[in-house]
Amino acid sequence: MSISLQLYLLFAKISLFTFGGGYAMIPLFQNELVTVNGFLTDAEFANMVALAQMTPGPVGLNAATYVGFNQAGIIGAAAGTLGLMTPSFILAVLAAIFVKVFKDNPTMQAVLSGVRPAVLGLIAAAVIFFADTSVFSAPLRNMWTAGASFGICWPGLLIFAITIAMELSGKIHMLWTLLVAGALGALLLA
Amino acid sequence: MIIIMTTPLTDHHQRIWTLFRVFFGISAVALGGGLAMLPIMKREFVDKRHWLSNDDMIDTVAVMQSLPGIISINMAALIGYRVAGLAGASAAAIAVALPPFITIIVIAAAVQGLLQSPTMGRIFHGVRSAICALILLSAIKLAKQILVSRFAVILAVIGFVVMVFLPINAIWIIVLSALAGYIYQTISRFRQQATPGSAS
Repeated sequence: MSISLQLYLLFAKISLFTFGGGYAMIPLFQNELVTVNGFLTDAEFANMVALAQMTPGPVGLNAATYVGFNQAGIIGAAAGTLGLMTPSFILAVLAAIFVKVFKDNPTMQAVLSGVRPAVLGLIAAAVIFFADTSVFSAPLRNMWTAGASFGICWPGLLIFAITIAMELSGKIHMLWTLLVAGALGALLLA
Repeated sequence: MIIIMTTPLTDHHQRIWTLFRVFFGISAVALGGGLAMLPIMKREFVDKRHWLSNDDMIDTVAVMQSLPGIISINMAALIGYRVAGLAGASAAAIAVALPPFITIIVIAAAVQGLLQSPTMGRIFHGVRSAICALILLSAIKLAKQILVSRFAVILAVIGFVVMVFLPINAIWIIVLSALAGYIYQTISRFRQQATPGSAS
């Protein structure tokens, strides 16, 4: 199977199981791109999400383009993006045609009553995933592994706290917050 | 015959072009995308051009939230279809995908080596710490809406613990939680029918 077809199918699969978009996609992407296929390391993946946050457009599309491009150039980027779009597009058009079937459908609502909280759990897991490569000096799961070390990266924790303060003030655009965090990183981190 | 056909066709073409322009613009400017696109959609298609009604928008949001996939692609296809059929849906979806596609390819091609430099490494470490905080804040906001029953709390905790500590693919968590939701709601409905009049 060609790499482009593989990328297309991979991103179509991810798209089909993503509910809630954005941050909820992070664990699915991480599973498929890092753990299963080894396209990226944990740190590379985290950097890619960071890059996706700082550029326009949905995080998922940015990620598919980036990974596709790194694996197989422009054709790969197009394959990844189209793969991610296909299930979304087909289901949305079907939903537009059969809007009465999709709207307030009791079966769909029952299914979503389970999926929504689970997705929240996945988003919380994405917090830990990011902390593992930023606020912690080693992955959290090391705490339970004999002989492995775990610790806090203090400058990382400081940037984390400053970001929370900036966001809660409600007046600062997210792009500025991220620029401040990047600048602090360059100054404080060793 | 040709004249009869051109009049609706030009309007159709104009609709498709407007869809493309509006969705391209939103995607090129908005960081994150998704539901943040809604107010602009409403202004462009409901208030300004009257191509959609308020009810259309409400339907779109209701349906969108139960679809899997990329929220902005779902939204583009739903609204595009309502405004100009399949061609409209395609135009809107492609318009949403193009700006990130172009931006990321330019960045990936230009700065690939740059990411390896130690200074860039520190900058990105800082940004990762910030994103960790941003995700936590959005998780807390979502938790307030979603964790309204004991069932929801249990599923969220299980999803979190399994994802962090067990080598299980996130897809399985989605599939099993969908099944759990279906079974739980079916049982609750059964119980309500079995004991009519009981307050639920």
